[in-house]
Amino acid sequence: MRTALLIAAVMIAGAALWLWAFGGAGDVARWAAEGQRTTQEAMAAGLRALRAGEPGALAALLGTSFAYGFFHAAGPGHGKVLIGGYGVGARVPALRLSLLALASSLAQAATAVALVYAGVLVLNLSRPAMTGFADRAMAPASYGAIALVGFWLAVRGARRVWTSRPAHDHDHAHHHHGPDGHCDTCGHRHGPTLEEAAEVKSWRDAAMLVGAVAIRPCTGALFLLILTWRFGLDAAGIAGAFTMGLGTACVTIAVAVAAVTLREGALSRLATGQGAARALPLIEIAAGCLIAAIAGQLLLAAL
Amino acid sequence: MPVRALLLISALLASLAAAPARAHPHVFVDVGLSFETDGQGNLAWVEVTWAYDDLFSMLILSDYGLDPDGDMQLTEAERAELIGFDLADWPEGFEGALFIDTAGGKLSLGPPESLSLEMEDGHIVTRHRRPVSAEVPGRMTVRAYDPSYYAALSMIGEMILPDGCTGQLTEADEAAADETVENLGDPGEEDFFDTVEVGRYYADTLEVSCEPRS
Repeated sequence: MRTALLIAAVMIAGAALWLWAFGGAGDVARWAAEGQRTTQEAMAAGLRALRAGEPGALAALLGTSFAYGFFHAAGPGHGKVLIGGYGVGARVPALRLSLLALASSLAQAATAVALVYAGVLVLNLSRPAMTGFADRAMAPASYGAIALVGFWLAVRGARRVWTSRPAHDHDHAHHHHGPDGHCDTCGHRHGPTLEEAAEVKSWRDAAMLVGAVAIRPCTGALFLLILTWRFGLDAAGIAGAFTMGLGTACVTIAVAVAAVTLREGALSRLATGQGAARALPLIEIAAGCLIAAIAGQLLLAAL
Repeated sequence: MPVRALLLISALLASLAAAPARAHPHVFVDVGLSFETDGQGNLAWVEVTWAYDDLFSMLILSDYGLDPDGDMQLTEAERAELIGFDLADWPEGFEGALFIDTAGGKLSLGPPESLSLEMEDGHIVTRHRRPVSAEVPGRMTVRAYDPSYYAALSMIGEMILPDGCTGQLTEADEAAADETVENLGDPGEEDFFDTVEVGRYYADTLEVSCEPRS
């Protein structure tokens, strides 16, 4: 099992190396941009068909929306940085992180729906005003929130390094720590176990992750929602926006699984228990700093 | 902690450091250019054709409340209303997404004048021209791009060069562009992105060389 994990981790690290050290990201970006252009044309065709009431048009539009979300996410994106970084930095099961990735993509779609319908129904905004607001206000807000999550991860890691230092001197050779963190012979606890730490933080972290990603709606979803609203195809547009979110989620879920696999593979190399426990906060600090740095860079770019 | 483990951890953190600076375009435009001379060996006008992608075309029509039947055809009156939509309100500092460099420096292009707007197969296609007064240079480097990269411009439309000139089109090398964007200065500097706009690095390039006048 450990060997399998390690092989998986090495493969993912290899893929990452290809992506960023050997120009693979450029190829992926080109492929994603071409794909985005193609799906953007197909989306227009789908909208025309839907407007003309052609049979099967809704299914075609949803299929295109899914592809658009997928290609859009395959390009550069803030959600992947956060989900991937969190998966590396905090010990979180792959399934839970995948669900969080899915939730943040769907919440992002919900933000787009909320912005457009608040924009047209309540505030009577023009299309450039809405997309401009998304680019100039919501995008920086999202990057700022992500940078804060990164910073928070780093601080939490640092605090754990601090608190895991033995508070008083006792001879570890003389007693045995049970799996629940209890010291069998001395009757007190030396701190939460890894599992407990993961439990305590899960809900707050979940809200932070989903919220930070969801603040910034995708411009493509705004285009679709504005058009469908004007064409009187509201339901199709909203369904399309959420389908786009599902397409995006495919990529972020892949990133989530890759991050967790990578992390567990790396940890499996460490001596079980003590070594891993000591490494965990360090990884968390480093991953947190990295997320903060990348999101901070995006924030500067957007301001 | 074993060294190998540390290496593994640093490798996995490094793998996170994706190319974050990249923007992605939301509008796709095919560009065509035509250089017109005064017949005396001087450039007089540069005519620019912009063909917008389907979705953006649809969005523009709906922004203006045109084409209510959705057949992507415009009446004469609708065309008259829309013409010049992409020339009005150029933001300050926007140079019309066209950059021509010569040995003598950047060619200065005058204000745009609208020529036509057509619907072609669901695309809005506009033409405008800009005055230029310069001798036909021996060599020039022509790039059409949106500095902010909100729109991705491809120089795949028709290119009409002055007599005696030949052109060589090079597509943008996005992998190289990504690398350039990542290596631009220090992202920690506060005005990093104010001074550096990425669109330039994703631009197609048309190298034009012209025979000297006899």
